[in-house]
Amino acid sequence: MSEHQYHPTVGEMSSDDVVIRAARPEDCKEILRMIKELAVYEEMAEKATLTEDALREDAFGDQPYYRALVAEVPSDGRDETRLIGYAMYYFCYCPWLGRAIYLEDFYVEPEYRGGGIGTSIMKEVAKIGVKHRCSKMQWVCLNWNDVAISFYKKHGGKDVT
Amino acid sequence: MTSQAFVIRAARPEDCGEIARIIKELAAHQGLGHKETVAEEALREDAFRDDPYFRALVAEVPRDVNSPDSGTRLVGYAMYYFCYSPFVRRVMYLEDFYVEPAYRAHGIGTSLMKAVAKIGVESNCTKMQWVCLNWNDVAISFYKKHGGKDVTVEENWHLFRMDREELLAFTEA
Repeated sequence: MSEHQYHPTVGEMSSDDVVIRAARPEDCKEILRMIKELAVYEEMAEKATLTEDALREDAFGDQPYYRALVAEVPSDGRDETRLIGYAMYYFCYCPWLGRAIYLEDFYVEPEYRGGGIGTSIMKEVAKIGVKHRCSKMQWVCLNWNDVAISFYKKHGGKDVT
Repeated sequence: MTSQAFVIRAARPEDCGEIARIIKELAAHQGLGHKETVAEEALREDAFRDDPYFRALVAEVPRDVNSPDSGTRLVGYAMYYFCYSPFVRRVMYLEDFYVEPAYRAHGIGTSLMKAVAKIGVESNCTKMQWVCLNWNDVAISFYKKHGGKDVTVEENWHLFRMDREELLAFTEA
């Protein structure tokens, strides 16, 4: 088992226990782990070849190619924390409406689902969009992913394809 | 017009007035001339800053081919930005490109698209993406001729969107 012995379940955790914050360079190892977990779920495991260094350089180098938020929970009952979710996003543009925000990826570890963390992460990205005067948020979804499609439509997303 | 008569170059802050005009023309061309488009000042602020929201190339021709000192005007543009994929890192995104009707069929559109693709290659982008309306047969043929694939058809990707109204409702809920 990992060094993190204590895994508070969604039922035990209050929403105060989950912190959604901007990613830091030292988070990249855990973000990579979660990217690989999401790739397995999307049946694209062989495509997740990115390295931790590349992830770090691309977000925290001279020019950010993406930005990320992470969801953090307490671990081991002490001051330690671990990451159980992330979102990757970047800014785009539309000649009609100007600034837009693009949600590239977001993920919550399976045992932490059902408690609203995914919604909170997506909401935080949307809030960043609103704060930057973005007129829309866009993302893609595979057309067979009914769970994701229901989730998006429930929150006001439209399938523009 | 000869193929040497046009120049594709990076947009400059002073081009934003012309780019705004071109965007408005594109809107009118699509029957959406009544809709608001991004103003010149916003374009300038958003493209020419440390962390730009977009970048642009412009297609420039002499105002008067017979008079070298007549100055130039812009007859087309391409808007692009960098995106990201956790699988392949940097991605080039072609948001828009347009050539005024009178200047079409001279390869300017292909040159604009090629120039964006070249920037993508030079910037280590692994792919270039863009959207297209599925009824736009002319554009679809053009893209397929140059090697573009429709990944909605081939890979089942759908584009989702929340417009400003949905964004505000979602974030305030």
